[in-house]
Amino acid sequence: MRYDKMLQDKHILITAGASQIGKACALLFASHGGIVAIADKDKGAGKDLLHQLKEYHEDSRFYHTDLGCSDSVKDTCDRYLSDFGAPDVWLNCEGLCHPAFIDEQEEAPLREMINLNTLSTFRIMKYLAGPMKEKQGGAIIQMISDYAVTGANGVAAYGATMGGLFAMTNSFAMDYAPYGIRVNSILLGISLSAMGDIIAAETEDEEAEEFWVRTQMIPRRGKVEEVADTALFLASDMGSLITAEGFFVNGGQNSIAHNQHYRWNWGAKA
Amino acid sequence: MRNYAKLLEGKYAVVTNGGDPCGCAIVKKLAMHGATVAFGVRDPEIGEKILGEISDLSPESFYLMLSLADSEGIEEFCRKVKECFPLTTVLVNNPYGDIKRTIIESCEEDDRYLLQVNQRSVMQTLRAFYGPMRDNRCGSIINISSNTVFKPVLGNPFLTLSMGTIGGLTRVTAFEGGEFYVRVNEILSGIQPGHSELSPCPLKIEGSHVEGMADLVLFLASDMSSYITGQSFTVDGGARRQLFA
Repeated sequence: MRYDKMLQDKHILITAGASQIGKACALLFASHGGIVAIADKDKGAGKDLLHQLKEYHEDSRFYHTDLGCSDSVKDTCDRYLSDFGAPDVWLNCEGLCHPAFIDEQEEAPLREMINLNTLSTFRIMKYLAGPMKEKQGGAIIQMISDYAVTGANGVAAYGATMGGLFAMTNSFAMDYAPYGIRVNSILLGISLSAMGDIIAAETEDEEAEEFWVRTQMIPRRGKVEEVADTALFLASDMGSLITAEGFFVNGGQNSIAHNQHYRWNWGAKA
Repeated sequence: MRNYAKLLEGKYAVVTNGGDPCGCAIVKKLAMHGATVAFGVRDPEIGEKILGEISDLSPESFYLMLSLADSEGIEEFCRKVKECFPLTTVLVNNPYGDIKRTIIESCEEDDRYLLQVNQRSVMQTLRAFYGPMRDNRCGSIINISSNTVFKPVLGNPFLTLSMGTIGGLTRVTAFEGGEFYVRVNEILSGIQPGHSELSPCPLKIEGSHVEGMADLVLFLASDMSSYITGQSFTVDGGARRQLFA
């Protein structure tokens, strides 16, 4: 394997890939020789990204897709399969968060989260699994919040949708392992999610900075490029032995207590 | 843009056991990506063979005789490496202790041997190399243990016992090193000590298993994983989650 072209001529589908983490992954995958197709609701961002992707490969595509709508998902999967056949890599970056304490959580936003975070993945998998099985190989990567495993205050419903997605991903992995299809999750920390944007926007720089120090082993906010590198590892032959695994990309947030006052008491910072 | 063909250019790496198939693949992989590697072996012939294969890629790499069962030998190994390397930024603990005996068959000597090889050796190298990494605010430590920690095998209790503590040690070192940009992670390997292939697993795998293992070590050693610390990665082709064989 050439490490500077880890995805040479691989066909890649990125759902919800027009901005942020999806965009960083798309550009990195394309720079490694992948032929990248993006499915996203945001037409403007999708077209802008397609323009950049075409500089790497003329066959790059953008499919305008509403991942919350089963007809739109079916249409996109049909078009992708007709254009390229089964993908070598499918990366899903969809994720919607309506934070609320459980007694304040309305049912409509919960249903929206279940539809987008959990059901849409099930639908896409249903359309892609058959062709990928026939191809006897491939890599599937789900971007999931680390709350899927850890839980946290104020995100019970969101955590439940992500936890469902995590369990489903591991079952996909078991179902398709005999066909050489690897299925893994990247478990993102809060600093890399939409919640991270909210914290950064609603707090003073110093306050936000203190939050990362207090809650993570690596005391800073993560970068989307750092997630893209992990996705590249799992998408390429570098991750050839790994399936049904969750890669926490969160600065070590899950491995320590959230309320980390003892870092200060212990004196490491002094 | 990162140079993905030379992910460890200019770095100095230590691999405690380069003598088994996995360790050998790891040493070669790190050297291929530009690192200068110091590695321990129990058999000088294997050391010479590996050195011969990487001499073009990494001419300053070297091996030292090392038995992880010898506590003083480990101290000496660490001292010599520190003399030769200006700064070690990658440490790979790859212990190899494995005695297949049931609890009833085993004796205290087995306990002492396995705890030294699989557990104390890791603590000794951490003590030697973590401090300079912290002072220089740069480093990646990878502790390799066994997936038998989560999926025990019959007749091998001491592998699970001695490897079971590595995860906790990894997390506490990662916690301490986080703000000094020293990352520490654990690999729960499905390739048992001395073997070159994964134990039976559901995943259909093409290509070399030890190469795949070395690729994960490379990923964790390099800046590709710069936001990952305190984690345990299971490399077993999905065996851990398999319910129906």
